[in-house]
Amino acid sequence: MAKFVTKRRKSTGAMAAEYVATMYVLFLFIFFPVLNLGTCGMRAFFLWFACNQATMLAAKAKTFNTLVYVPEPSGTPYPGAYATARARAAQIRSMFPGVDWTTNPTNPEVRIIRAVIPGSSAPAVADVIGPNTLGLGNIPDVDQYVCTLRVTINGQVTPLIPVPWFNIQGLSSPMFLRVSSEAQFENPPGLQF
Amino acid sequence: MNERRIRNQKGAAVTGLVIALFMFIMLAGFFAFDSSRLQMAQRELTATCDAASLAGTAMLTSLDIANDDATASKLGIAQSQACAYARNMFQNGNMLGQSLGSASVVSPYSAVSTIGNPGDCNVMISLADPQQQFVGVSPSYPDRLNGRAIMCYAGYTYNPVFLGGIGVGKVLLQAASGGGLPQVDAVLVFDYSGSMDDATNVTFVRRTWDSTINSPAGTTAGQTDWSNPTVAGIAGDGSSGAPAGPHGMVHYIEVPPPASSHRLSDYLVHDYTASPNGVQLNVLPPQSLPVSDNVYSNAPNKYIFDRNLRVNTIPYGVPTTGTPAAKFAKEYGTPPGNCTLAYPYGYGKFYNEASLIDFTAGVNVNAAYNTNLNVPGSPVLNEHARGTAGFKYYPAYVYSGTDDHIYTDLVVNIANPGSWPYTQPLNGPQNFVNFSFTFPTQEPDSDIRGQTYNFENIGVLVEAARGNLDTVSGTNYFNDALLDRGSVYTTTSGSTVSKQSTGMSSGHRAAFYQKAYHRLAMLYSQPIATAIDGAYGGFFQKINTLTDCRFGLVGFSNSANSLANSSGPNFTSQGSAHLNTPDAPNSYFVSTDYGSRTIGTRYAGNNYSGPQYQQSIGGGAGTGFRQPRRALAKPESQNTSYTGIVGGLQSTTINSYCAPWSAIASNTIANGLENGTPLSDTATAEALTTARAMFHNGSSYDIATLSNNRPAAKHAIVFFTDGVPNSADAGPTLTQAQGCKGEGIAVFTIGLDVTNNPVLQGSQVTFLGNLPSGLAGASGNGGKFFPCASASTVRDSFSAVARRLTQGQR
Repeated sequence: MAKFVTKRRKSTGAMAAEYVATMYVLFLFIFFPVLNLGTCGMRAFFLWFACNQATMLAAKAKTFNTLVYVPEPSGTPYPGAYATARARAAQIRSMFPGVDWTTNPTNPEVRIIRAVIPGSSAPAVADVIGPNTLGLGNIPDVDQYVCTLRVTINGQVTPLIPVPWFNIQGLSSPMFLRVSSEAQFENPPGLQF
Repeated sequence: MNERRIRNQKGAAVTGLVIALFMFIMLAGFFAFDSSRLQMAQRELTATCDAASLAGTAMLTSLDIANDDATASKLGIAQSQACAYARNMFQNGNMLGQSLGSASVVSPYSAVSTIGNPGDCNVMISLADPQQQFVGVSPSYPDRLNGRAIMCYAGYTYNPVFLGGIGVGKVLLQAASGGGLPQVDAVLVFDYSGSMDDATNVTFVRRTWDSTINSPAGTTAGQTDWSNPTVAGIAGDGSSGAPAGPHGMVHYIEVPPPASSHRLSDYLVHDYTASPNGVQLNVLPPQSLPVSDNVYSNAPNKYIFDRNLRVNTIPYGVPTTGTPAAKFAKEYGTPPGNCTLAYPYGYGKFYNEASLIDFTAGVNVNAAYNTNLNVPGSPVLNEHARGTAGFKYYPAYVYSGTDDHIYTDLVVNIANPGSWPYTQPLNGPQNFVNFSFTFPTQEPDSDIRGQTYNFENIGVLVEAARGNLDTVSGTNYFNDALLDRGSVYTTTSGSTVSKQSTGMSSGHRAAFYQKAYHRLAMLYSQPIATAIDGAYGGFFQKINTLTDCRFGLVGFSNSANSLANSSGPNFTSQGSAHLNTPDAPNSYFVSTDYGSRTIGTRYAGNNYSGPQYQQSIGGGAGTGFRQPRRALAKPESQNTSYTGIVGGLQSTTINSYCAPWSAIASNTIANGLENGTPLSDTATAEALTTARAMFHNGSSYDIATLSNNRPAAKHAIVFFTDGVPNSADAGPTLTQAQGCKGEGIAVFTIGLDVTNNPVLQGSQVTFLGNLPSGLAGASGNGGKFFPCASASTVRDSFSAVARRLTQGQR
């Protein structure tokens, strides 16, 4: 019976042999996931950025959902906050690949929020979601309420390298996100239009 | 040794992995850091641009551009200063903790996007035309007229902190921001109450027939021999007991104030504590002269207007029966003079509507004069309220005693207002000073534009104000007023009395003399002249220059009787309330009543009356003096809306009356800001009701509909007053302000107090103030109360309102 002799393999090439596994681990379990997650994170930021920019611009609108020209009738066009927010969000979306959402009348959602000022005796009122407006004659009392616009986007961001074998959001498949941003509307009477 | 080496090689890949991870995480961190920093830099640059453009626009609305010249020089200076302010604001900003003080101001726009050294910043401030998609405009005329927005463009060279090491170079960050073109729809509610001229320097004058003057020299001590200079044949005919020969001339006697101040309220020593809304006596028609004698006057001797002395109901020169035509067509419905000598009938020939008056002593005591009496002063019936029975002798020229503040005329101490544009506040001298004035070529009224008028003394002032110096075809008011017999005037300064010839002859007449006096008197009527100027320059011009706007105007005074609806709304110009009863205010130039003979009743339907009496207000409702109003109208162009309110003065002459700036014309200019005149009360409820209703005026403007509204506009009512309403009016006014709250209409209130009256100031704070019980506070929507302690700050307050309405971002 031959004596089994344990013989130490030469160390030459050991590192290369280990690197295969190392690289596999590095890329498959660390680099690609981190890259995908990082990409998703960055795209999530772009998604929020689109939402935030939409809010900021919409908050300066003169009306909520009525196109006006200043001066009339052929001056600078000012679409309402609703259209402004959606257009601005779409514009930023087009600047960054991998950021997307399904567009419908309530996505991006532009919501009118009238928050009761603490200490005020005014009753709480329901939010109004665009394209609806507050309606003629419903001018918010700025001494009782703070009028803000909240833009919410139900969107998705895709990882840089989609992996088909399994389905993990943000890692191997698009990550669904809901981002929102809020700003005070500068012309509260315009919310009725 | 070998084993140690082999052992050391084990796990080397893990070490590499760690190093690789470290590098990877470090790079990711660097990327995240620089990305975040880049984002922060971008936001800071944008915020700095926003601040600069907003500051520039705010500065543009704060600077004076009123009464600009033909090339809009003031606007150019304002734009230049606003741009400089925006630039300074930008350079006071910070980027990533570093000051932007060294930011380079560059031009043209392409230079903004030049990449420089790390941290370099380029900024360009420019004017932009909001009507043309904010395209840049040149600061030169006429391009500058469209430069209604301040744009700020900036470029910043950002150098990545870490990513530069891996080849990521400098990054140019750019930002742009501009002040927008706000839309403003505003209605000015302007107070034309009687107190709006209380700070005017005036002179009370007693115009009398002085029968002593023509006495031969030396026959009466202290009298001067003033010969009849022009009319030799006017001597009395000796009938009715009248002696033949010259018998006097017109004499103007200054009735001095209790102290040195000639201010109207100081003349009467008005009690502002008991009557905070001021003096109802007016310096221009309707003067309502009888109200000078009132319970709120604390003058030691009250100033008493004497109807008998002023009003001559004797229509000399016309048949004793029939139509008393032209002779009443002067002085807003009253005869030209208070000297009842009837040329060519001579002394003692007076008409008492149907028959000659016999001036036998005691027979016709209602006559103004008995010129047959050659005594120092003419006896008249002492019929004023505090009078005693019997005749009263008015001293010919000496002011003394306790009951001699009797006057016939109240004139404004006008002066030369200087070159165009006139600079308010214009305050006349305490004692009138001789001057001559040529109206500049920019004067709105073409009748007096370029014409020269001389005002040598108070006699000229009185006759100019009465209209007796006007040249009108077919009439000779000068002779009718017996001025052809000569005239003298006496002024009193302390104890010194002087009597001098007025120098007036028929050659002194000129076309539109009365209008010239009234125009100058308007400019020197305070505080209304300054308030109008403040509203014009501080508000309307700014709003018009810097925004897309529409205007409405509601002049208010009284609301009862004459207005179409005393509770409002009344959108068109309104005639003042007036009656024919004795001492009725606002009727016309003087009281309608003369003894038992009420002029209005006796001669109604004839052309004795002035346009302010029975002529309908053109384009408006009622008769009387105009309270200008102009409805807010969306369909109008901005220019039409603007010029309709501040376009100038509209005057006219009708039936030989001069009707300055309270015209019967129905064109749009007549409804403008300068066509109103102080009179009567402070009826605020009807005024605010009308102003609010202008936002609910159907196709003209309707805030409740989209098609008739301007949804992007800021809706505002600017409420200006120098008083407070009575208690009955305050509640309904507040209700209107509360109604504005739910309609998005801000009510800005300006309360003027030129009397330093704490009672009035307290009342204004309550009525106009920012608490829910005040108009500004009740309206919400950003409304604010601006108290003014002097007329000169009125413009500042109007500017402050304009600034609040014009600030906006693109």
